[in-house]
Amino acid sequence: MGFDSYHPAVLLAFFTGAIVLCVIVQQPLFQAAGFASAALCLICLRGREGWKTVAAMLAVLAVLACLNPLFNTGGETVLFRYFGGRPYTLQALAYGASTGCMFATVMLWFACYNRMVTSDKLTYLFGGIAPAVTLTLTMVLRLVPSYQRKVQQIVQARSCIGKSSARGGLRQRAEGGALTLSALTTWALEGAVTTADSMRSRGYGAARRTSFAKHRFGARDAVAAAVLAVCAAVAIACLLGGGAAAQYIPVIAIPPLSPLGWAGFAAFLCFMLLPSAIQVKGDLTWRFLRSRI
Amino acid sequence: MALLAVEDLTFSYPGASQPTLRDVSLRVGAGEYLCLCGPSGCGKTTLLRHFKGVLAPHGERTGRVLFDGASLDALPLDRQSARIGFVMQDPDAQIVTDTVWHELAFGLESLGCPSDTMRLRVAEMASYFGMQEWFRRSVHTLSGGQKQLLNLASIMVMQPDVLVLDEPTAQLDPIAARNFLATVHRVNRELGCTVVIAEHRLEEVYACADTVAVMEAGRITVQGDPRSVAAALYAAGDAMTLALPAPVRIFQGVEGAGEGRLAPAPPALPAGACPLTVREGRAWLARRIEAMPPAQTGLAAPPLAECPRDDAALQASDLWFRYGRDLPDVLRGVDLRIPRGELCALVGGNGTGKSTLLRCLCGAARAYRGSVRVLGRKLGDRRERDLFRECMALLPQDPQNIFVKESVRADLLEMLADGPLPPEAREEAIGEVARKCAVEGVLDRHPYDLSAGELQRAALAKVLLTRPRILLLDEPTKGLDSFCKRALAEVLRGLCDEGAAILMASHDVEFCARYAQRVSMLFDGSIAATDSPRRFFGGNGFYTTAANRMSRGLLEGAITDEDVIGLCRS
Repeated sequence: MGFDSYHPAVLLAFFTGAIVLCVIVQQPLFQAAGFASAALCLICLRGREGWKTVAAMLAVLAVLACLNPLFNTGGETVLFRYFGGRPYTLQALAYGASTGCMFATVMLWFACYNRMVTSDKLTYLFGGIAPAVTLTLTMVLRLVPSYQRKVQQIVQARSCIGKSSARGGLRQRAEGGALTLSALTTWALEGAVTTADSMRSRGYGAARRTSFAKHRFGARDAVAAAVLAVCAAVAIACLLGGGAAAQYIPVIAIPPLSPLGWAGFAAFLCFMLLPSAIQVKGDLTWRFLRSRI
Repeated sequence: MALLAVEDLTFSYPGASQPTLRDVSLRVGAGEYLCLCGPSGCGKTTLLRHFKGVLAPHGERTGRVLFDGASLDALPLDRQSARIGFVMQDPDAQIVTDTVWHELAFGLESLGCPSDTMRLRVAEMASYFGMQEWFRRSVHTLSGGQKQLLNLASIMVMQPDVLVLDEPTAQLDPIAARNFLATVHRVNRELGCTVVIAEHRLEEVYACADTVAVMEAGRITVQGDPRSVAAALYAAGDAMTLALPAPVRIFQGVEGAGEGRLAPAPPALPAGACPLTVREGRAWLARRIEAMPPAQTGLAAPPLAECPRDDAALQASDLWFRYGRDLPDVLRGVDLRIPRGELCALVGGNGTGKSTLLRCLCGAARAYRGSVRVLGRKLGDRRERDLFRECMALLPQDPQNIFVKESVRADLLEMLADGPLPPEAREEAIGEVARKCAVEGVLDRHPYDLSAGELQRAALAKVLLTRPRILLLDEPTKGLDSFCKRALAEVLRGLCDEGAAILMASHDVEFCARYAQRVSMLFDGSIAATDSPRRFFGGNGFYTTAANRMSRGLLEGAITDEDVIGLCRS
């Protein structure tokens, strides 16, 4: 129903485009639109959980903004001085907010990406080009949770024989942690030998690999890809043409948007909102269908 | 013609002083079910790995392995991968990918199977194994039994002619193991797939097998159909008789010379008469009792003495526990008393909260209502340091988890590291505990190189170094063969004689019936019953031992093989 049901290539193109565009724009209006779209997309996907992540990212944004003037003393308007005269400037604060916004937006897009582009879609896309790399990736995806669980098991088992890792001084705890890690490593290596045997015994490397997953590149995928391509082209043209210029240091200089700027902004917004729009449309269709039943 | 044949195979690992396999010859016909048994370390795994070229160990080899009439070495990799399937012991490490469907498809993807064929094959196997429900799940959400079934299914999609299984149930609980072995039997019966299985749960596989081969020290000593192998083992007085299914053991105990006796077996015993299953056993036992009525037909089962409140080493009253605020209760008002010097068993189905209860009893999980008294003092009043020193210890289900060093000795030393013993006395303490647990021979080995039985005993040794007066064991017999179980039981009995209280959570009905003094059943979060094994298992219809199922209605209160044999001979 939603955007995640589109062809993996479209999904990957969208996320690559969204992240690249959000990293390069510095114009506050564009940045705010980028953040809002990413937040909307995540909320569409995850509901209440999504709100929590958005709130956390807003906090990250605020912290980064406030911290930046401590490291960057450029800028003309001094808000206050500390440590015997070190300036804390408005411009550095604004620049920090911009960087923080960029960072938070990218994090939100990654959260959406994790939800939509699952490992099998990635395997499907790159399985033909780089089979070894993609297989390694899916194996890593399996190993991470299994390592987490093993660590938990070791810690739990040891706490029941009086070797709790949450006890004693810092040194004891560090020692306990190192022991757990070394046990985990041994276990992992042992397991890797079995996994390799299991792969070889099932013909890994015996022939050219094929893929189980099947995704059809249909008409709606083509339409979505075309919309994304046009919007991205307009937005990039606008950025290259200086339609979304912004400067923070030494003085804040954000010129009002030119007609080119407005065109670029419209394209940018259109690009960023595409997944949410598809999601909302899907929800509406669903509601409409249900109301007729 | 044999589908798979080994001719005069002798194999030694590089640097080994003597060969692991000596002059092994074996023939497996198409569609046959062959069970390979023998004590651990006798070379079963080494032999099985020779059946699959890519897994064959490196070393010095003479003799031949033939598949379908031609040398296995000549079979190209892709054909070998598809035609010979191999299932290993570890359910987790065999899985390559992160989702169930991808794991099922992995083999076919590797062989370059076209997408449409692959989808059909995966679909039919997923349906055959009943996996539709968890087809899209991530593998780390599966239970051990489900993982092993997935491993089997992901080999069956390649439509192999031979399925080789190397102790596939060693890491599963008995219920999952039974389910897995039943599936293997079904694959053999319904799909005609040849099965070669190394297994120590003979109760489950012995009656299914067409051929049984017994290995000892790298040689195949006996080979043939299950009944004649059983007769031959008893005639030779072999220790493997200990591992045979209860009906066989009872039959031989009653009709034959009995194990351990040096007198030769009466030669007149017809091999065909030996029952293999409980059903055959009942029929035989009924005939036998009718023909020769025993003097005594029942064993008295006196009621269990109530454990007095102040004598209990460990006492739980009204324990309630849940894992999260919004999650359901796992324990709902557990009352339990463990007396000093007794071995108590906690039985119950999967997921009834046995492990959770053990963790609550040692304070690793906090009950939200109720109290635990350890040696007369409340659990909450004790400091953690004191609790796990000379007081209490919990041995987890996977004993490997408590080993973190490079050798067993170093791991044992770790337990004494911050103790009061002077360094020179530590070696002595380790020597003593190693002797008690029969692990002196493996002290310098890496914990991960030990067999399941050795590992369990080494873990017990490690735990005993804290000198616990209350010992909690979680599934101590998981993956152990009958010899290891007997050795473990002796260690536990010794501890009880010294006054320790032991509570073991176990699925192993036979072990509990034979060695425990008190059995409690956990059901729906609380203790449904506590009784002596004879009253508990004697009264159950399903949750009981094979010997009891066989003698129910014929003999009263007989729960072990020895009980039935003794009554029949009276």
